[in-house]
Amino acid sequence: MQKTIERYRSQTQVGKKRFEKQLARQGKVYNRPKGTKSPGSGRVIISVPSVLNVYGYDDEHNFIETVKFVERLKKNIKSDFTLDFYNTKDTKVAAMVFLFAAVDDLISEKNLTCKIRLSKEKSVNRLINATGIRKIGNESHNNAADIVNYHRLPVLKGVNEEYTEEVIDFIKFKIYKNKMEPEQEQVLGSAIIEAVENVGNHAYPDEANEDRTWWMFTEVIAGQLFLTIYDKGIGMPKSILGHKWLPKALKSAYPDIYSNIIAKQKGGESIIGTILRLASVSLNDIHLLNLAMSGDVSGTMAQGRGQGSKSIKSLVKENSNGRLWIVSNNAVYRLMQLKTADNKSGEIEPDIKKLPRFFPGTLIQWNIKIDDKSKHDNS
Amino acid sequence: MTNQNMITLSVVKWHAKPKFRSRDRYEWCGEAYREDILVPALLENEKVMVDLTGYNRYGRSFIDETFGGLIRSENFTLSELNEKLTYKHDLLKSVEELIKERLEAAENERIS
Repeated sequence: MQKTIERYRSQTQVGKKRFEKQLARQGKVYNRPKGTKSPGSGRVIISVPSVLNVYGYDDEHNFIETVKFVERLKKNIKSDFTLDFYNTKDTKVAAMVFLFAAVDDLISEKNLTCKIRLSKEKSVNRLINATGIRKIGNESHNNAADIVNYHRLPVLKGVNEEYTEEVIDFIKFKIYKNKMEPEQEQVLGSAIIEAVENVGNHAYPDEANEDRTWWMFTEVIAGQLFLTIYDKGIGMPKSILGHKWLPKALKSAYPDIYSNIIAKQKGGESIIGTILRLASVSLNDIHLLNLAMSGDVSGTMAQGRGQGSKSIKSLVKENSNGRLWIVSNNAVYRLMQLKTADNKSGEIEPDIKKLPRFFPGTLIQWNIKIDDKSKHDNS
Repeated sequence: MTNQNMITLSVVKWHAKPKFRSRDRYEWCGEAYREDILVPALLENEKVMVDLTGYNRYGRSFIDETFGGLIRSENFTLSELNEKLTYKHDLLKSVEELIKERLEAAENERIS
């Protein structure tokens, strides 16, 4: 009888499709929680917040909602899912990279599949498509050999030094049309390389190189190239505790805190040891992120660290519309050029704030101007 | 290329895309270049010229570890290096300036 039905189905188009669907459904779970899965697909439907934003500077509400959403996603999803952006009105690039990393982990670690329901907003869909989040899990995504052939780069997942040269090549050949001046290439290249190197230093100090994962996204908006890099490591504030240069930096930036800590130094205890012992009560993430970004600007730290932040800072200095964002653990750092009364660019000014909710890992974003190639010369 | 007691080292002939500070992160790093190439050259030759031309993406940490590391880790002084060591990049003055800055920063640290 079963054979007869199968033969009948195979002889009609409708029957054939039904039969193929039946085969495709085999093994799917049917005890779905009410209202969370789409009818017939077996997929959990996850509604994305109306705004995705992790800058956390002027928009604390959406920062909290975005971080909570991604935390719940990582914790609760255990089967194939659909991210529903239909009611999402606004997505910031940095937040999309943060979400991308979470989805990427879910797919690779739990062997799940993810589908995307697009938004009503074109700008949201443009960013969804640009990041390549719809293609996570496809073999074609993230193939270094193909990077220079991309029309635009999706979010790239790499470990350690992986893809750094390819990303710079892409910017040089595709965005600058191979007209990048050597000094421009040096400024951009060194900043990208140092940013990736810093991921290993500040994010995964005790991990093997192959576990030092980062996600990077490059995006051109209105003549500015935005570069975003995210890692899910221990966070930049925590990473500087124990560094040899910390006492000098602390003394220079926060002399009162330094004095208070030193006053509590026990006999035979090193200064670093005292700082580590008292860090949790004497230093918050605002202090630590500021120290991490101080680099050797004061000229006091020749012990070989803090160079990467300087390369990135120089990008902001050169660009009147330059911005540097660092979101890590409990603090957000913003560096931008101040505008004078006549709207001319002035000194760069860092600003650090406490975040309303813990942010896992470190997200760094900066932008460079790409439409003024004559500015740099080698004379 | 050796000329009497003078040797010219090309960084890109050692590796086309050197980067990073230490060996635990990347094989072709500043620490490796300093220890394997630069220090032996400085010890065996009266003068050493390091030519960095051919790569336009030198990270600060590579430069710092290669050159600043000569003072921090190899016990050279800045005056010794000023006598023995020269460096150039035909297209990037900023790299030459960065080397000078990192050497001076390391020297300041040594004498402080």
